[in-house]
Amino acid sequence: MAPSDKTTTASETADQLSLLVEQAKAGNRSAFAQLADRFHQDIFRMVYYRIRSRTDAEDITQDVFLKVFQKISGIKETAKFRGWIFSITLNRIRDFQRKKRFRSLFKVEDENIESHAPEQGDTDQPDALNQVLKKDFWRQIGLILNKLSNMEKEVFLLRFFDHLSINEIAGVLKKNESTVKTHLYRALAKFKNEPAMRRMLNEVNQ
Amino acid sequence: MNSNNKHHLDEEQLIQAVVDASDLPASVQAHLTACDQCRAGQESFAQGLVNLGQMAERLAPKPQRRIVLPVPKAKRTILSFLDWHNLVAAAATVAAVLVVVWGTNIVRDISEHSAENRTAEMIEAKRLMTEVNMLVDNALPSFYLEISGEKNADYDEKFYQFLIPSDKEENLS
Repeated sequence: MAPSDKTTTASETADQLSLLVEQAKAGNRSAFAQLADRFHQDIFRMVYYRIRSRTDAEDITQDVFLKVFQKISGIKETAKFRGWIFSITLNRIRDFQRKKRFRSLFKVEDENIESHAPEQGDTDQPDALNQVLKKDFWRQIGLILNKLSNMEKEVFLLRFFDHLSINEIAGVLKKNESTVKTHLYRALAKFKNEPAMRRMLNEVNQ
Repeated sequence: MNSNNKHHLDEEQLIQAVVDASDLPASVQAHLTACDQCRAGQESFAQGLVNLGQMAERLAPKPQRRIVLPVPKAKRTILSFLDWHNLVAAAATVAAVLVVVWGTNIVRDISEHSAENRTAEMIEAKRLMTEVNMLVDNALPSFYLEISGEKNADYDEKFYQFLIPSDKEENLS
């Protein structure tokens, strides 16, 4: 596809999204259902990347869409819907993590990602090898991300896992763009010097 | 292309190029555009990160549940009040009101009944006291009073003077 075609398609998609948001704002249930379908996977994955529990990710995703449903009439700039929904999701994830930390004060809870047993729903690839690969991938990612500060980790995930632009990340985190770039730069600099990350990048580039 | 340029991008500039190439100084941007080696380094790093994101997407589980949207609130009509929830609530309210009214009446009956009893007892006590006082004044029943002539006895001062003369007359005499 030629770059001009791509620009046109992106513009059309943005227009369609704005239209859907406008209709949903006006109370059109079908438009809201279409928005939910469009963002369901993205939001679920965003939560899963940070929580790494499918069940919790599904609960939080449902909560996010309920919140969006309640608040959509108040959204001022329909063009910023994507950033807005990611912002709501991030807040819900933080709430969840805060509650989890609070609960962990009262009971012994192993938060090590290695201890996460494969979940029942993770049977998309039934063979054991895939399960092991999947588990190992998330373990590696967890170890690498743990080397970053919270802000560096968040900016990195939003940029490369959730595919948000710098501008959108700035909106979601309520920071200016240069701050976001600084955190992203620091995260990438740490990654460049991290042998596990270099190995992983080599693997995914092959 | 100008791959022979000696000032290749260093590590920091390569990372900066992946974050946002437009933030690099113009001369470095020009070099990046011209130098295949530097551009390859930048693209390789950037592509690695993109691939990592795509791999994460592939290895993340798929959501199993659909999003459930809240049920919209229906417009309230008269007929909508006739659903079983409202009917049960109305029946419970009526029952509660009946229980309260019935309970109040019972209490009122009991209190009224006890007031009547008290009044009757007071009347009876008053009557008894009257009889007692009459007996104190004169213990004989009225029949014996007739015989004794006490009942219609109407003695004047002259009669009493006759029976018991006063001291004054005694002194004079």
